[in-house]
Amino acid sequence: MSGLLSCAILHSTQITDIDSATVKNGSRFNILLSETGVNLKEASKIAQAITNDQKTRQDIKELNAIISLFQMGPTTGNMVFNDTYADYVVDLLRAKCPSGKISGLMSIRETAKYPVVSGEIVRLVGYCQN
Amino acid sequence: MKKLILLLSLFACGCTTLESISTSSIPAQRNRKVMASTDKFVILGFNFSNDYVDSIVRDLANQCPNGRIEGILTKQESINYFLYLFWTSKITAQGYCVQGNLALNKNPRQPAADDIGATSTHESEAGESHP
Repeated sequence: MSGLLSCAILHSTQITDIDSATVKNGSRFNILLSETGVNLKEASKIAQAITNDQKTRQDIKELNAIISLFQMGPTTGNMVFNDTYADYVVDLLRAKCPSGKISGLMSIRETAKYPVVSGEIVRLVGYCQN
Repeated sequence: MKKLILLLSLFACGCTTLESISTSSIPAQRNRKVMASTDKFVILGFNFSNDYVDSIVRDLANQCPNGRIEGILTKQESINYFLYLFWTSKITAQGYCVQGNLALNKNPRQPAADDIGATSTHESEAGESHP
Protein backbone atom coordinates (compact mmCIF):
# COMPACT_ATOMS: atom_id res chain seq x y z
CA MET A 1 0.00 0.00 0.00
CA SER A 2 2.78 2.39 0.85
CA GLY A 3 4.25 1.85 -2.60
CA LEU A 4 1.11 3.27 -4.17
CA LEU A 5 0.95 6.45 -2.11
CA SER A 6 1.95 9.76 -3.75
CA CYS A 7 3.11 8.18 -6.98
CA ALA A 8 3.49 11.56 -8.68
CA ILE A 9 4.84 14.34 -6.49
CA LEU A 10 5.08 17.91 -7.74
CA HIS A 11 7.90 19.86 -6.08
CA SER A 12 8.04 23.16 -7.94
CA THR A 13 6.72 24.97 -10.98
CA GLN A 14 8.06 28.09 -12.65
CA ILE A 15 6.66 29.99 -15.61
CA THR A 16 8.50 32.54 -17.74
CA ASP A 17 6.98 35.39 -19.72
CA ILE A 18 4.23 34.44 -22.15
CA ASP A 19 3.80 35.80 -25.65
CA SER A 20 0.20 35.10 -26.60
CA ALA A 21 0.89 34.93 -30.34
CA THR A 22 3.57 32.30 -29.86
CA VAL A 23 1.34 30.23 -27.57
CA LYS A 24 -1.53 30.45 -30.03
CA ASN A 25 0.35 29.87 -33.29
CA GLY A 26 3.53 28.11 -32.22
CA SER A 27 4.19 24.46 -31.59
CA ARG A 28 4.14 23.03 -28.10
CA PHE A 29 7.09 20.97 -26.98
CA ASN A 30 7.78 18.83 -23.96
CA ILE A 31 11.25 17.97 -22.70
CA LEU A 32 11.67 15.37 -19.99
CA LEU A 33 14.91 14.59 -18.19
CA SER A 34 15.01 12.00 -15.46
CA GLU A 35 17.37 10.12 -13.24
CA THR A 36 16.76 7.17 -10.95
CA GLY A 37 16.56 8.10 -7.30
CA VAL A 38 17.07 5.70 -4.43
CA ASN A 39 15.44 5.84 -1.02
CA LEU A 40 17.90 4.05 1.25
CA LYS A 41 15.59 4.37 4.22
CA GLU A 42 12.91 2.32 2.51
CA ALA A 43 15.52 -0.14 1.25
CA SER A 44 16.85 -0.68 4.77
CA LYS A 45 13.34 -1.18 6.15
CA ILE A 46 12.65 -3.83 3.54
CA ALA A 47 15.99 -5.49 4.27
CA GLN A 48 15.18 -5.52 8.00
CA ALA A 49 11.79 -7.05 7.31
CA ILE A 50 13.28 -9.77 5.12
CA THR A 51 15.99 -10.98 7.49
CA ASN A 52 15.21 -13.10 10.56
CA ASP A 53 18.52 -12.49 12.31
CA GLN A 54 18.21 -9.86 15.05
CA LYS A 55 21.88 -8.84 14.80
CA THR A 56 21.62 -8.33 11.05
CA ARG A 57 18.59 -6.12 11.59
CA GLN A 58 20.51 -4.06 14.12
CA ASP A 59 23.47 -3.73 11.75
CA ILE A 60 21.21 -2.56 8.93
CA LYS A 61 19.59 -0.05 11.26
CA GLU A 62 22.96 1.35 12.34
CA LEU A 63 24.20 1.52 8.74
CA ASN A 64 21.05 3.42 7.78
CA ALA A 65 21.63 5.86 10.64
CA ILE A 66 25.22 6.51 9.50
CA ILE A 67 24.15 7.08 5.89
CA SER A 68 21.39 9.44 7.03
CA LEU A 69 23.99 11.64 8.70
CA PHE A 70 25.43 12.34 5.24
CA GLN A 71 22.04 13.12 3.69
CA MET A 72 20.80 15.96 5.86
CA GLY A 73 19.29 19.15 4.52
CA PRO A 74 16.38 20.25 2.30
CA THR A 75 15.77 18.01 -0.66
CA THR A 76 13.25 17.40 -3.37
CA GLY A 77 12.67 13.71 -3.95
CA ASN A 78 15.22 10.96 -3.43
CA MET A 79 18.95 11.15 -3.83
CA VAL A 80 20.48 10.45 -7.22
CA PHE A 81 23.97 9.28 -8.08
CA ASN A 82 24.35 11.66 -11.01
CA ASP A 83 23.42 15.27 -10.33
CA THR A 84 24.32 16.52 -13.82
CA TYR A 85 21.46 14.85 -15.63
CA ALA A 86 19.67 18.15 -16.16
CA ASP A 87 22.71 20.16 -17.25
CA TYR A 88 22.19 19.79 -20.98
CA VAL A 89 18.59 20.99 -20.92
CA VAL A 90 19.60 24.13 -22.83
CA ASP A 91 20.94 22.02 -25.69
CA LEU A 92 17.67 20.11 -25.80
CA LEU A 93 15.75 23.39 -25.89
CA ARG A 94 17.85 24.54 -28.82
CA ALA A 95 17.19 21.26 -30.63
CA LYS A 96 13.44 21.44 -30.01
CA CYS A 97 13.21 25.07 -31.09
CA PRO A 98 15.89 25.96 -33.64
CA SER A 99 14.43 29.45 -34.12
CA GLY A 100 15.13 30.19 -30.47
CA LYS A 101 11.82 32.02 -30.04
CA ILE A 102 10.43 30.27 -27.00
CA SER A 103 7.58 31.57 -24.92
CA GLY A 104 5.60 30.37 -21.93
CA LEU A 105 8.39 28.10 -20.77
CA MET A 106 7.27 26.14 -17.72
CA SER A 107 9.87 24.35 -15.60
CA ILE A 108 8.49 21.50 -13.52
CA ARG A 109 10.35 19.50 -10.92
CA GLU A 110 8.51 16.30 -10.04
CA THR A 111 9.04 12.81 -8.74
CA ALA A 112 7.51 9.53 -9.89
CA LYS A 113 7.69 7.45 -6.76
CA TYR A 114 7.89 3.65 -6.57
CA PRO A 115 8.98 1.36 -3.74
CA VAL A 116 12.64 2.12 -2.90
CA VAL A 117 13.37 3.76 -6.27
CA SER A 118 11.93 6.85 -7.92
CA GLY A 119 12.18 8.84 -11.10
CA GLU A 120 13.53 12.30 -10.38
CA ILE A 121 12.16 14.32 -13.27
CA VAL A 122 12.88 17.75 -14.67
CA ARG A 123 10.25 18.62 -17.26
CA LEU A 124 10.10 21.64 -19.54
CA VAL A 125 6.94 22.57 -21.39
CA GLY A 126 6.97 25.50 -23.77
CA TYR A 127 5.86 26.96 -27.06
CA CYS A 128 8.14 27.54 -30.02
CA GLN A 129 7.59 30.16 -32.72
CA ASN A 130 8.69 28.44 -35.92
CA MET B 1 -17.29 18.56 25.15
CA LYS B 2 -13.62 17.56 25.25
CA LYS B 3 -14.15 15.23 22.32
CA LEU B 4 -15.79 17.99 20.34
CA ILE B 5 -12.92 20.39 21.01
CA LEU B 6 -10.42 17.72 20.07
CA LEU B 7 -12.28 16.98 16.85
CA LEU B 8 -12.54 20.65 15.91
CA SER B 9 -8.86 21.23 16.65
CA LEU B 10 -7.93 18.71 13.98
CA PHE B 11 -9.32 21.10 11.37
CA ALA B 12 -7.49 24.11 12.78
CA CYS B 13 -3.89 23.04 12.25
CA GLY B 14 -1.59 23.53 9.23
CA CYS B 15 -4.19 24.15 6.57
CA THR B 16 -2.10 25.69 3.78
CA THR B 17 1.52 25.11 2.84
CA LEU B 18 3.45 27.17 0.31
CA GLU B 19 5.59 24.71 -1.66
CA SER B 20 7.34 27.02 -4.10
CA ILE B 21 7.17 30.54 -5.46
CA SER B 22 8.89 32.27 -8.34
CA THR B 23 8.55 35.44 -10.38
CA SER B 24 9.80 36.69 -13.72
CA SER B 25 10.88 40.23 -14.56
CA ILE B 26 8.24 42.81 -13.66
CA PRO B 27 7.27 45.17 -16.49
CA ALA B 28 6.88 48.91 -16.25
CA GLN B 29 3.35 48.69 -17.68
CA ARG B 30 1.22 47.16 -14.93
CA ASN B 31 -2.29 48.40 -15.49
CA ARG B 32 -3.85 45.07 -16.39
CA LYS B 33 -3.44 42.00 -14.22
CA VAL B 34 -4.32 38.50 -15.39
CA MET B 35 -4.52 35.36 -13.32
CA ALA B 36 -5.01 31.65 -13.87
CA SER B 37 -4.97 28.70 -11.54
CA THR B 38 -5.27 24.95 -11.70
CA ASP B 39 -5.61 22.41 -8.95
CA LYS B 40 -5.99 18.75 -8.21
CA PHE B 41 -7.80 17.13 -5.33
CA VAL B 42 -5.85 14.22 -3.91
CA ILE B 43 -7.42 11.49 -1.81
CA LEU B 44 -5.25 9.32 0.44
CA GLY B 45 -2.17 10.30 -1.52
CA PHE B 46 -3.27 8.68 -4.77
CA ASN B 47 -1.88 10.97 -7.45
CA PHE B 48 -0.57 9.38 -10.62
CA SER B 49 -0.04 12.40 -12.86
CA ASN B 50 0.93 16.05 -12.65
CA ASP B 51 -0.30 16.94 -16.14
CA TYR B 52 -2.93 19.25 -14.66
CA VAL B 53 -0.33 22.03 -14.57
CA ASP B 54 0.13 22.04 -18.34
CA SER B 55 -3.05 24.05 -19.03
CA ILE B 56 -2.13 27.10 -17.00
CA VAL B 57 0.04 28.73 -19.70
CA ARG B 58 -2.77 28.57 -22.27
CA ASP B 59 -5.27 29.89 -19.73
CA LEU B 60 -3.07 32.91 -19.15
CA ALA B 61 -2.42 33.45 -22.86
CA ASN B 62 -6.16 33.42 -23.63
CA GLN B 63 -6.65 36.34 -21.26
CA CYS B 64 -4.11 38.48 -23.08
CA PRO B 65 -4.54 38.05 -26.83
CA ASN B 66 -2.12 39.97 -29.03
CA GLY B 67 0.08 40.84 -26.08
CA ARG B 68 2.69 39.56 -23.71
CA ILE B 69 2.31 38.48 -20.11
CA GLU B 70 5.21 39.56 -17.96
CA GLY B 71 5.98 39.70 -14.26
CA ILE B 72 4.48 36.26 -13.74
CA LEU B 73 4.25 35.24 -10.10
CA THR B 74 3.94 31.45 -9.89
CA LYS B 75 2.80 29.99 -6.61
CA GLN B 76 2.41 26.34 -5.69
CA GLU B 77 0.55 25.47 -2.52
CA SER B 78 -0.98 22.50 -0.73
CA ILE B 79 -4.29 22.96 1.02
CA ASN B 80 -4.87 20.31 3.64
CA TYR B 81 -8.45 19.49 4.51
CA PHE B 82 -8.11 16.68 6.98
CA LEU B 83 -4.93 15.18 8.41
CA TYR B 84 -3.36 15.18 4.93
CA LEU B 85 -5.68 12.39 3.96
CA PHE B 86 -7.47 14.77 1.62
CA TRP B 87 -5.67 17.74 0.14
CA THR B 88 -5.56 19.97 -2.90
CA SER B 89 -2.41 20.82 -4.79
CA LYS B 90 -2.90 24.21 -6.41
CA ILE B 91 -0.83 26.20 -8.90
CA THR B 92 -1.61 29.91 -9.26
CA ALA B 93 0.02 32.18 -11.82
CA GLN B 94 -0.65 35.88 -12.09
CA GLY B 95 1.03 38.42 -14.27
CA TYR B 96 0.61 41.67 -16.14
CA CYS B 97 -0.74 41.83 -19.66
CA VAL B 98 1.41 44.16 -21.74
CA GLN B 99 -0.31 45.05 -24.98
CA GLY B 100 1.16 46.05 -28.30
CA ASN B 101 4.40 45.39 -30.09
CA LEU B 102 7.19 46.08 -27.65
CA ALA B 103 9.73 46.21 -30.47
CA LEU B 104 8.12 49.38 -31.79
CA ASN B 105 10.17 52.22 -30.38
CA LYS B 106 8.42 55.58 -30.58
CA ASN B 107 11.62 57.44 -29.65
CA PRO B 108 14.31 56.02 -31.90
CA ARG B 109 17.90 56.73 -31.05
CA GLN B 110 19.43 59.45 -33.17
CA PRO B 111 22.78 58.58 -34.76
CA ALA B 112 25.72 60.11 -32.93
CA ALA B 113 28.90 61.49 -34.43
CA ASP B 114 30.95 58.41 -33.62
CA ASP B 115 28.44 55.96 -35.11
CA ILE B 116 29.65 54.12 -38.17
CA GLY B 117 27.97 55.54 -41.26
CA ALA B 118 26.36 58.34 -39.33
CA THR B 119 25.00 61.17 -41.45
CA SER B 120 23.65 63.37 -38.67
CA THR B 121 25.19 64.88 -35.58
CA HIS B 122 21.86 65.61 -33.89
CA GLU B 123 22.21 66.02 -30.14
CA SER B 124 19.45 64.69 -27.92
CA GLU B 125 17.51 67.10 -25.75
CA ALA B 126 17.78 66.97 -22.03
CA GLY B 127 15.26 64.52 -20.54
CA GLU B 128 14.58 62.69 -23.77
CA SER B 129 14.86 58.98 -23.14
CA HIS B 130 16.73 56.63 -25.42
CA PRO B 131 16.87 52.85 -25.34
